[in-house]
Amino acid sequence: MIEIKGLKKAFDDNHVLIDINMHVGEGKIYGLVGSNGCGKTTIMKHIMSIYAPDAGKIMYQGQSIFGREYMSSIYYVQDDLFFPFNYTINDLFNYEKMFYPNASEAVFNKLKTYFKVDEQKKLRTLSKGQKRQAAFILAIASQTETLLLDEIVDGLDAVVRKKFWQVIMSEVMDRKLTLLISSHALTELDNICDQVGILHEGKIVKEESMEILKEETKRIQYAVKGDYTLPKSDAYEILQDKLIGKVHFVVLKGDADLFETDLYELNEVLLFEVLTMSLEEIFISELGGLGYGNEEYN
Amino acid sequence: MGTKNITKSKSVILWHLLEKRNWAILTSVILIVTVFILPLLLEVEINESIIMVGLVEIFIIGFFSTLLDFNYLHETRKFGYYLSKPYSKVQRLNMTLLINILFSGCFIFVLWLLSVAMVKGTTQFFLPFTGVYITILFLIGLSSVLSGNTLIAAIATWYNFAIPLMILGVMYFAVDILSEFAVGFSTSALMDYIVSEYYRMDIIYFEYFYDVMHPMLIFAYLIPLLTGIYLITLWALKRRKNERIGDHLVFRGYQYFVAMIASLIIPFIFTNLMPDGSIVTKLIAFVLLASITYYVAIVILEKSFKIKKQQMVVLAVFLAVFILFVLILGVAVKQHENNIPDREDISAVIITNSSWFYDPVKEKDYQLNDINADMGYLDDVMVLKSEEGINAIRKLHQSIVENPSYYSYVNFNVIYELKNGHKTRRYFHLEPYDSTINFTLDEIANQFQKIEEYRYQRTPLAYNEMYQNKFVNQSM
Repeated sequence: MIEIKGLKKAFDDNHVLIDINMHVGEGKIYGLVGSNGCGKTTIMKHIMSIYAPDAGKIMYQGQSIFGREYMSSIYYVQDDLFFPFNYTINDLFNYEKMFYPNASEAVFNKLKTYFKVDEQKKLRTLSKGQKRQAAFILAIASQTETLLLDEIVDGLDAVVRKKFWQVIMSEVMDRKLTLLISSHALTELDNICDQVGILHEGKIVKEESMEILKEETKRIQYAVKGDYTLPKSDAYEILQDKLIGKVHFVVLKGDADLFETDLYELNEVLLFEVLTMSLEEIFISELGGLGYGNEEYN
Repeated sequence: MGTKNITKSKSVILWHLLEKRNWAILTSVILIVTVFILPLLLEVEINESIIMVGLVEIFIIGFFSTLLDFNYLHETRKFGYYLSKPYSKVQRLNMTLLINILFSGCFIFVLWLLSVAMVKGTTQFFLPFTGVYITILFLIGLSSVLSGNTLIAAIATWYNFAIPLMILGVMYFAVDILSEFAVGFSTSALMDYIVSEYYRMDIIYFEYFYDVMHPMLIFAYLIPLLTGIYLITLWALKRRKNERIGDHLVFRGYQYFVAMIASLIIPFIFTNLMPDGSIVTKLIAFVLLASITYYVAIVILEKSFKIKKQQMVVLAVFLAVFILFVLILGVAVKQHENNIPDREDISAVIITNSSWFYDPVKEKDYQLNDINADMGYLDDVMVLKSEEGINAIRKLHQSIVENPSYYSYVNFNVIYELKNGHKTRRYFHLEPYDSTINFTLDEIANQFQKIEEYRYQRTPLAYNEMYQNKFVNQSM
């Protein structure tokens, strides 16, 4: 659906995107996660042709995004929201209807009721959370085949966030909506994403389906008796190794079964347990492996 | 697909046009008060001045309205929102221009109708005014694309409007430096010639069209002008670095252009205020002032006191090219100006220290370039056709070329009329220079007194019978 190849962008001497390669599949929910200032918004702005790339290609449904025909198929909600001056949500929906041929009045009304949005109020007078709800309603009501949501749930309370995810899940199931979402709410993304791209310092350090990602990276806890030797092999990579009390905590990427065999061969193992990692843990361990956030605070 | 797009475009234009209703109400109220109610209260007829006031009001309102409509180019949030819609940058540019032209056009048309109905004979300034106004609207579009914030876009609009004037200033400055190289070279003479023949400021700024009332002429000028501005705007829009929104200027090239023009204009103003100095002093003053101005301009535009290596290289290259250009031109001009035409090529010589002349008989005024040896009597013009007169001038010319230092300040023009029909002109500026005073000039000047045609024109009361008669008649 959306394919990015070799995307590069520098703001003067600051290289913001360095050779980005991404693939967002049709009808999938793609979570774009990363450290602060890593370039998530910049990627989205490139997809929407707001920024021009220094190098690389962006394709939408196999076509280069040169013309703007594809724009009526994508709705973008930016992190820093803007609403035209003095517009109510109804005014803005009527305005946006001109651009999105599939925009649905019925969906719009349903969502207004669901989120209890005051349609008489000027959008500029709404609170930050209410503005995000309004932007979300307009995005869903546009009924485009693809949504780009930049930090949409940031600053929302847990109840509204839950409502957001419910609507998204329902849209994805009902009409094969493709969604590219950037967020720091990793726990919530964990439950809904099909694919994840981890971005760090302008590079995609990991792009994988959630299933493979979780299969590939595991947290293992074990305890050994006597002398301890950490196994080493090309079949797996130890991202983290911590000893708390007498229990070793290892984050491992690769073949966990082989690691278990090796561990038993080298040590007298008292306890061995493999745990599935959450997206947040995978994120921390991936970036930790790149030296991000490893500093200790005394 | 095409029909759908057109329908969508029409709907969007109509939507934004309807959004102008508050501006329309404001403009209507202001016009009704100033053009109708106030004259009524003051018991003044609606005249040309009142119509002009109305036009100026439309101009001011239209200026701000257009500027604010282009504000989406200067706010990251706004830009992100509008550009994420399936409505291209070019469509939005066209729509903004069209809406504002339509908006102001309606009010200008109403004033025109009023003018036709109530103030006969005042309609002649509507077309040139509309020409200037539409040009400004297009320049707002261009300046908004080039700028990263709206205030700077407003300033850039007037800056861009003044570019032809600034180029004239830069040309004047370059030519003024040349006058130090070549004896007999006249800055004002050359610039007057350029402005009257080639670089027509009166046409560029529509002044010409107030006198020459021909709609087709205005269109013939306006259409290519607007097309040019529009094409530059499109070019800039496509190459715009939108990530630089919020900076004063989005384009580095334009930033350098602004800084470089400023670095020429400021020295030009200051060196005009300075007492005359040698060419070396002038060039040193120019380099110093240009460098400081360039730095200040870059500091303002970049919002940083740090200057980058690239910016210094641009300045160095620019100054080197400008100075080299002036020096090469100076050498060429010097060779030309020092050249005294051969005696056998000259048919007459005109000497004068005026640059403007009035013929009381024909009630007509002339510029220096207009006069010739056969025009008859004009105050402050000496025409020499005799062998001894022409030779005396050539001798004077040669002597000044060798040493232009004189004990008093003297300025005068010499025009050689050549037998092939051409004219060649020299401007002499004599003053005490560092070199030894050229006393030979006094001797040559004394020789003039012995030339009959010189005496005849210099002291007409004594020698010119026609002048004597005129004087006597006037006395009676």
